[in-house]
Amino acid sequence: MDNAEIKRLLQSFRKDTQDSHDPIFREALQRLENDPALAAWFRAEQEFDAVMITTFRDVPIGLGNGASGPEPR
Amino acid sequence: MQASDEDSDERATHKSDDFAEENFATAYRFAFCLSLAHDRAKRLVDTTFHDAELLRRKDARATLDKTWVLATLHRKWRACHPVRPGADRDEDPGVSNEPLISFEDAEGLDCAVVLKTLHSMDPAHRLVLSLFYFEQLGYGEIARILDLPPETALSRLARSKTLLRQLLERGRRAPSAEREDSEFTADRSG
Repeated sequence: MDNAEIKRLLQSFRKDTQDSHDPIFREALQRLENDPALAAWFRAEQEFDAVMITTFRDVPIGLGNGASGPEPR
Repeated sequence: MQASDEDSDERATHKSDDFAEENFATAYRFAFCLSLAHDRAKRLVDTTFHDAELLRRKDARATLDKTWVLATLHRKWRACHPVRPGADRDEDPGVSNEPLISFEDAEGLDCAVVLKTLHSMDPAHRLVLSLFYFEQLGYGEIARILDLPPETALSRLARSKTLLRQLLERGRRAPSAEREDSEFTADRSG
């Protein structure tokens, strides 16, 4: 598995989820232990994901048009 | 017998209302990401919850959850926007070598800017990113919702994230006057 393939896989990895037990990520995660540059790249990738999740959490549902909840029955 | 049927109907209605209430935000966000228009998003959401209610009345044990809502929304949207054969096999030429925004710079971005960038992207990219970041779903669930092979979901997520970071960096570097007036351009070949 080359670095490009490892990165391709790890860009989808979500820590603290069942991904940690998904065999598809196993080899890629193991390679991080012996490759500091790759590990640094992975940390930055995870940091970016965390920033995006926080950013998207701030988006209002109606996106400014006043859309609210479901139609009352 | 009639009273108990009425009670049962009322319980079913309450359950449907709760289900719609609990899942409205998720549904609307994704529906807007699909259609990029509030009226179409609303119609998608309304028909999806209507289907949920019909399904629940038909089978009280039907599995109705967030994944069902998202998959149904996508299926309904796809019925009106069929994808050309082969498009789901990621035939796009791949991302360029443009610089990526760092997470430090991304932290300083307004959510409206990020959202505008996301919505400027081709559906193939913006849908996976929406599910990954808004709903925090894994590649397996994303694959199921978008009816993709898991490997395709993995590849698409990787490319979409890279493209998003390139677009955000491009926007960040644009002079402020251009930034206010410009439409973000993105690969729409998907």
